[in-house]
Amino acid sequence: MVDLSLVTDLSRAWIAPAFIFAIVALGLNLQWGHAGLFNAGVAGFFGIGAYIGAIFTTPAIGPGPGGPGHLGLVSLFAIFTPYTVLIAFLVGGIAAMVVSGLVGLLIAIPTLRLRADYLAIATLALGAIAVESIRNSDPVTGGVYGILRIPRPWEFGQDVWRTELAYAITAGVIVLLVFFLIQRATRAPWGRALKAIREDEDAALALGKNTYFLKLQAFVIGAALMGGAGALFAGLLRVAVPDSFTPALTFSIWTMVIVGGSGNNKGVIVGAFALTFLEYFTLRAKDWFNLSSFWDIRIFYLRLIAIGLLLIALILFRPAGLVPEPRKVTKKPWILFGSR
Amino acid sequence: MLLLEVDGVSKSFGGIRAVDKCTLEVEAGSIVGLIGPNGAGKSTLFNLVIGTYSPDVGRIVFRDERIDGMPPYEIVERGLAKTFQIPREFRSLTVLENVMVSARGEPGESPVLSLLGLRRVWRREEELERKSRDLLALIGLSELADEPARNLSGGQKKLLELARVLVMDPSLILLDEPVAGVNPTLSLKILSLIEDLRKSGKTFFLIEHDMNVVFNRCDRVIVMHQGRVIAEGKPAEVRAHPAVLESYLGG
Repeated sequence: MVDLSLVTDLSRAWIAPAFIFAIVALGLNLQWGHAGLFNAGVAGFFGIGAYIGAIFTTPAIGPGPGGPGHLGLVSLFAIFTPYTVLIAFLVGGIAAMVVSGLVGLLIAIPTLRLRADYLAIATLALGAIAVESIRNSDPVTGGVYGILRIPRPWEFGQDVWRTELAYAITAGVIVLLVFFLIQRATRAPWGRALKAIREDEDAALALGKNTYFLKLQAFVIGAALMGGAGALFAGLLRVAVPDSFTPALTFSIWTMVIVGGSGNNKGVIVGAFALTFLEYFTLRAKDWFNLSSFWDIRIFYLRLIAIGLLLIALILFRPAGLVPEPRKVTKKPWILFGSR
Repeated sequence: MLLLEVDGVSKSFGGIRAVDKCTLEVEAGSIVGLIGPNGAGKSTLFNLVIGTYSPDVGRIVFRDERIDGMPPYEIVERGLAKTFQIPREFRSLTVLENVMVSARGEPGESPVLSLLGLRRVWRREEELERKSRDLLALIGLSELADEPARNLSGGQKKLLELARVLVMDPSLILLDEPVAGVNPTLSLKILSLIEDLRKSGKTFFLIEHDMNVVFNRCDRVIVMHQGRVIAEGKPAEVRAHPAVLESYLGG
């Protein structure tokens, strides 16, 4: 008999977050790994998505401490009973992608024409502005209290392990889908053109590539993926609070991309699993190894040190990441439409 | 027939007038040389024609259509292409991919079309791969097709530059020092390739400091000095021109 509490714990604290961060890492990898676009506001796009998702799925609760009022858009989908939450979840996820994508577009339109540094500065600012806006928009976001009791599409009451496993599987299926689509597009001539821009934008421009438009596409698609992942994350935690979307999160996602292998879509998924496992391990190590309370707080700082050492070791010994970028970009995919 | 007309074009960078009321013409089907001392504005002129810079004043006309102020991708779309003086290969792409990525109007460069996986998109890609491999065979880089371009030697990178513009199927090719730093046999090979391509209907406008190349291979020679055209004509006329002797060739 499998210990079901372990299934619950693994799903909730490692597998599901790993899948969700894998989507964010795939988005960042599209921007940075493929197109060479520096995004310092990953947490902002992720946070915007989380709140949009939460607003669509969560019922309205009266205003007051711990139960802030918000829009309660979920009632719009009551006609789909008993699939209300599922439909709201899907619509919320899509809305999260659209809004994050639009925010990405608004940032990218003026900055992608400028030198690369400006995009970095603008996205850094976005990360800060997004969190502060969320913190101070109480009627919509619940301010510092956040949005609580966010429902999920598949709930199994007392069988907590089923609820958690179902959510992890949902996230996994979405990762597979996203991976398939991104892998296909980046192995196509589109991905080749993006890499040309990454290698030498002026040369790509002079060779007749519309570099601005190609960069815009990569950036917006990446931002939309981050937003969609945010909506999934809100469902996983069942709460959305501003503190979840600090620059530390942006740093984590960057670490996943660099550790996994910038430019390799499989690699960044490996990176997401490795880094979330490190976090999970430091959360549970105390119980597994019966560590004294001396380690309670210290282990979290040790984790940060470990991540730092890991990054240094990687840069010295495996600069291309655990799974380096493939040598050849273009691969022939399956033909979906049209006969041979 | 006039293919390219540059009419009174000027371009300044800060206080420096890199190109100063420059006027010149390139006939279809010819090989035209552009010479002049360092800093004469030759490369800047090329960058103005291809759209990397847009002129402060003046008109640039290609096939009876004004192209000044257009972005490079629209100019390239109309059949112009330029190589770089110092090769600008995409370092981590393979040699073959460097050629393929330079092709014009590949439908698979749209993310939507690449996702749909239409048969015709990939048929185009297969044709492009064949064409690119043929070009690599022509310049003798077939063996290195799957190597990352950063592993090529300086001369091989020059050849790759040439293959990258040829894959675009342009009617006018601007070559910025095509044989500089290339060994003599390879240089002869590049020059005979240019001659063959001209016979097949292409037009070349090239910057070169090797006077053997300029005076033996070009139909017409244009001389620039301090941003202006100071002389032009048949190689023999230009060679004897007093202003050219003074500013460039030396007595």
